[in-house]
Amino acid sequence: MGDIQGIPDDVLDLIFVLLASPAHLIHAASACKRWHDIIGDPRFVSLFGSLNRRHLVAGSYHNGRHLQHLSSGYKCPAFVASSSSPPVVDGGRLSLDFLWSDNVVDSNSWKIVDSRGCLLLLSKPRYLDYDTPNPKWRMDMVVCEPSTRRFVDKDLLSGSDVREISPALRSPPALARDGGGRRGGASRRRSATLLIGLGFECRWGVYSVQPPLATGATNHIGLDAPDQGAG
Amino acid sequence: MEVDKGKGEAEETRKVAEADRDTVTLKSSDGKLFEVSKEAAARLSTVLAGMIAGGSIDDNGTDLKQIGSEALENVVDYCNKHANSIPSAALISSSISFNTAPFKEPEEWERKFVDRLSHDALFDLVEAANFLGMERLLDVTCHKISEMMKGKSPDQIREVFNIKNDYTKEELEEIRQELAWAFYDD
Repeated sequence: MGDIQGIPDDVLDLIFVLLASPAHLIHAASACKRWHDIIGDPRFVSLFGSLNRRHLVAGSYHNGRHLQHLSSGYKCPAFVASSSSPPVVDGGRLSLDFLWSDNVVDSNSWKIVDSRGCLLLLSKPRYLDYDTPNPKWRMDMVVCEPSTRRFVDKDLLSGSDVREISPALRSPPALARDGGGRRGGASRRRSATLLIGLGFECRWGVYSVQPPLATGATNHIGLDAPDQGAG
Repeated sequence: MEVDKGKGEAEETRKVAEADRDTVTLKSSDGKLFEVSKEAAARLSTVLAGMIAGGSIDDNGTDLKQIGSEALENVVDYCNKHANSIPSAALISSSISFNTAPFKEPEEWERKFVDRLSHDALFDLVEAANFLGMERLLDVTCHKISEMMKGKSPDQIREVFNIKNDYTKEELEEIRQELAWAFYDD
């Protein structure tokens, strides 16, 4: 008697939902495995997300051109924390500066083009061959997970992932949906805790960060580059 | 005949008296008896409402074998306080369902009510509220427990709730690395 572990799972659901903040939730999940399993359950994750939505926007990723009116300092894609107080997540944790400082990406012409789960796909078109009647260009691409500062760049993606695409096919590359390829360092098996990690939601070209709505899709980082078409 | 008739009348009178009683008697697992307003019990507990409507209330003490006397005393105390402090119309709208309505913050008196409880008593009361289908009391007690967790590190949570750490060091380190953003404040 008088033991919190005597409280049934469905009542612990109510308690954890009221924690409201994803950081509090993760601390609770780290207390013991039983709580981890309850909190990591997809059913709980969706309940938590639907009831705490207003607490959950940590900020957004913007491509440089969206930011010029905010600050002339932004030239590359960047994270802008939401103005909620206290902040959902320390904005510095989601910065993309690790990409610039490691020279993974080198210039302002990189853009965030897609997201899936905790992952962002950045790309930069590059013309290879200007002089032919049908110039070829290729997409340089980087898949990164800002929360863990991991990335897979084009050299690590297998050859078929980064293709030469004819300019007629201007549809941008996109991350594969569930069931896509599993490649690179970020695809290793994850603990259930990652279910309550960060997720990105794209609306109007702005990638809002909404913990903890991420799903198991974090395991997949295949790329759906458009097939080379006629023309 | 006469005698039988008298007995029947007495029976009848007793039944009427029982129906007219405005309290019900509840019996804890350790045999203690508590009286609670029938109206409040029916309004606050779906289980007691069902028992009252179904006539399975025992005048000599309805057995609640799952609930100890301390928790039952708190349940009864809560029912009485609730009956005194909130008009029933307000109560109905304050009773929430997690699937349909946002959580409604505890009232000041509800906060005080749970704040004075020991941890053990609080956990027992959560279980009793759950068993009796007392949605509002469950919300208030769960809210208190979640407040006790907020802002604490995993170590502090384990300490407060007396939880055994069943993670290995490696597993904890992995969580910390994967979810570094959640651990910025410690």
